[in-house]
Amino acid sequence: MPLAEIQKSFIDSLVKPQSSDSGFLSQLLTVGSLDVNKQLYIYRSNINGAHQKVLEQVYPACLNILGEDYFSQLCRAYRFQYPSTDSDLNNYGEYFSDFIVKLFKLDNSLEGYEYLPDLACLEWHWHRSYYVKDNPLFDFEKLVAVDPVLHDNLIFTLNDSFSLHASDFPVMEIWHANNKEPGSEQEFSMPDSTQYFCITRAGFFPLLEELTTYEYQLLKSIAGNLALSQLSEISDKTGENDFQSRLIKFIQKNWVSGFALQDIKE
Amino acid sequence: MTTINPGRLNDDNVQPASDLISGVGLGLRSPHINEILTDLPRIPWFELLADNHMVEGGLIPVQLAQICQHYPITFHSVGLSLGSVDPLDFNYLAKLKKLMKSYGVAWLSEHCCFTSVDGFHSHDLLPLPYSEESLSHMAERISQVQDFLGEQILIENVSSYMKFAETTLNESEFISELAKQADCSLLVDVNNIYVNHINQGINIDDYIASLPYDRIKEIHLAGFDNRGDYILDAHNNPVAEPVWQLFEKLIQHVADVPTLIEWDNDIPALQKLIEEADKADNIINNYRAGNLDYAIG
Repeated sequence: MPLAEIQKSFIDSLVKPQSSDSGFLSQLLTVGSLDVNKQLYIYRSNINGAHQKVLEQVYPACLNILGEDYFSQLCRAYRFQYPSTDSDLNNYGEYFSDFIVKLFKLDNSLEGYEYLPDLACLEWHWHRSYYVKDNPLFDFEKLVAVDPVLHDNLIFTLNDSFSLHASDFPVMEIWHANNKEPGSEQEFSMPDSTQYFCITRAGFFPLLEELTTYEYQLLKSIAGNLALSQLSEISDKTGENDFQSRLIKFIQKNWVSGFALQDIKE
Repeated sequence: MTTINPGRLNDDNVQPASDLISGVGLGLRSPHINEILTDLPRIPWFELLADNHMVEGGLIPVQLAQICQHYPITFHSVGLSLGSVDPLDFNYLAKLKKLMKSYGVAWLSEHCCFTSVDGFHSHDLLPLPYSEESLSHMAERISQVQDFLGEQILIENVSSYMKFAETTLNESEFISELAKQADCSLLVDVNNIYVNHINQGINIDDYIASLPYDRIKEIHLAGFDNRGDYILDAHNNPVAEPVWQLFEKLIQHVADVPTLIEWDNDIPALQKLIEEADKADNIINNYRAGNLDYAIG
């Protein structure tokens, strides 16, 4: 069998369930005490272990809540559904939240854990914010140089480490509890309204910060590339009158790290 | 205390970075970085897993720069997938090249294996059949990488738990011929030879005897995990006694080649790694002193 076919057959046996093994196994010979099934098992086991270790590091709160056995089953199923397509292991596990959402349709035992997708989303962005590239600080001199006539067309950009979150579950509390006191039973009351928060990197380390509804709306609009004039209109509609101070806060915290000028259409 | 300022590596009148790598170094692992940067222990050089340092921001690049201020370093990568039939990932290579240049990295080593194919990444070192087809394919890829980087790389023998029907060459023949065809250097992992000896019955003496000693630029030592019916190259234990003995056999041919202690899982205190490095040093010194019957205590 040509090298290309051997490799494709090998990787198929690793990224798909065992039903597809026979073609590849026919390319192997027993050696020492290792029969062909055992040979493939060793690689499957190594890869499962390595991928599970990554997911355990990225999703410690989910692991703590679900327990090692169930989490291990999830990792195995996740690996078959979302095999790694990136050489960087730091990027592995991005779709774990989506995967859990799909799982709710198939597994009744997850009833009562409806907050898990939001919690997984929080944990993914926490992990991601540690590694993303550095952004320069907001360039005030460059802003001052912009013709005031064009200020309405300013579009602000968010820091690469910044992510916005909204949840109807008390995920911030659940996350804190399951990171500080692993294994402890916790009861949480549902919040009266949606929780808004953001994750960003402050210095070298991720930081989670609660937001007001207004701050969330503003930051969501900035993420949507709305221009300064449109941001101002949102503030007027919501009856908020401290738009400017919020914008300064976002810049001071380095959540907003740059700006560009919107193309002016005639 | 070994303190090297890589800034001077850019000066044409000083030693090339590769000359700074000698003695027994350690694989740098994140749990030890703060301690190393605080105490600056006397360790001649570090090998870094390049894949862990290819991030663009945050703490990791800062720590890399700090380590390079005090120690010479080499890069070991796992993501080049040199044996794969997929096209080479030149984005990955470009990042590697940039990092190597920025930090005065002495050399890059990779594995004689593939890790990805069809766009899927196993993140494991998957063996190749040792065939003429694999040999010419891999030699060609190594040449492309060396042309891109503008320097020789080191290729490491891997532990393998698989025997392919297509295999026609034994491992040492394959590795030796690969080094010749690609004109690359070799990194000999002594633990991997031992693992393959136990699991696949390869002849250790024949293996060592057939290596092209002039191409060996680095030696790796690590611990394995006994899984009952096989042993796994798990890098989670001290170097085992038979691996030390094999190391002694190898250094009789390449006593001046830099050696490295690798420990990747269940990582112990830094002091334990330093003790392992001291054992390797003692074996080398005993050999140089003409005492072949080393005692490692």
